Amino acid sequence: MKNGEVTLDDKELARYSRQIIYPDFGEAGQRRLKRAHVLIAGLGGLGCPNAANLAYAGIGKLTLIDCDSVDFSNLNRQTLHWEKDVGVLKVISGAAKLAEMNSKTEIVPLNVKITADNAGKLLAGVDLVMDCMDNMETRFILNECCVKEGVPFIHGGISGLEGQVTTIIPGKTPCLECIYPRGIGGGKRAPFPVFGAAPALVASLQTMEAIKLLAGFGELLAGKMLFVNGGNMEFTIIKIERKTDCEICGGGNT
Amino acid sequence: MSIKTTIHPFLNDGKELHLEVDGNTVGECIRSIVQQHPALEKKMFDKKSKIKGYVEVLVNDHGIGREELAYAVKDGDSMTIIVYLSGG
Repeated sequence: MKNGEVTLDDKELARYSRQIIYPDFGEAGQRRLKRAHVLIAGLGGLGCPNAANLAYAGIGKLTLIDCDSVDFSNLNRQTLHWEKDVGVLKVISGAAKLAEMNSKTEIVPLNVKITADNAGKLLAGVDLVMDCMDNMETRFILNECCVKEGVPFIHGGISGLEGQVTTIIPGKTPCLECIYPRGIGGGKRAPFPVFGAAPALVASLQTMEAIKLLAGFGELLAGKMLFVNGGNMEFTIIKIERKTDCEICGGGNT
Repeated sequence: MSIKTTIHPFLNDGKELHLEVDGNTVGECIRSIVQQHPALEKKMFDKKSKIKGYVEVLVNDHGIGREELAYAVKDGDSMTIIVYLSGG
């Protein structure tokens, strides 16, 4: 986070008053959000509601990364992209809406593909990465880079009416490779089934994790994976442990 | 060998499945599971009898890596079979 104290003006105190009165949050929590720089990796079904939730919550700086343009098939779930945006770069479409939601949040739109070569540079100065990707390959690149740079990483994934969330804190929790060490690979998959409510739900859970982590209160999904099943409304949490011989995080042995 | 096993709802028509199985390796345990619940075979394995890419087996709460079916288990271990929901 940025060094030095940030202040909240009267408009901000009014705007965030309903969250400032949350007992464990307060003005101190709001100032922590204002100091924070969050990277939204992917501005699709998960990235749009995450970015909106975080802008509304008062995050100081959001970097948006996506390399695609808006397509008609995105419009059932990618809530920052509207009919008029079809054909427009997602980061441009998203940045325009976010700027109107909260003019105090600095928005940095980056139309780039995340690769092993550029991930380190993209993470410079970032306090938290929101995993909103739609493919495994980039998730593992981000996981490795976050572990290396010590940046927390909130993983979300969805399919159909189901989703999963975990919070990865380098050096403390299992990383993505500890859970899925087979290197589940491949690029973008064929279109997967999805109703917009599934990424909206999972993104809201990710945002709650982000707010708690940045402001320093509550209990995180650290060492736990939450699975949500909208098909039967079951929520399941499984325990996950660090893998002692993890090739990425060392499982606590490095 | 008695291995407590939990199977993710995605693989079992939306319902989490709990059972105890016998085996010295993950592969032997999974064979026992499939004998009891034949419908799981198609969900978990591809045509070459390899575990599908989006299925992951955790033993004692962590991934088991490339050993997969040959991974040794002992009495009292837990096995959790989950999926990777990769959309976004």
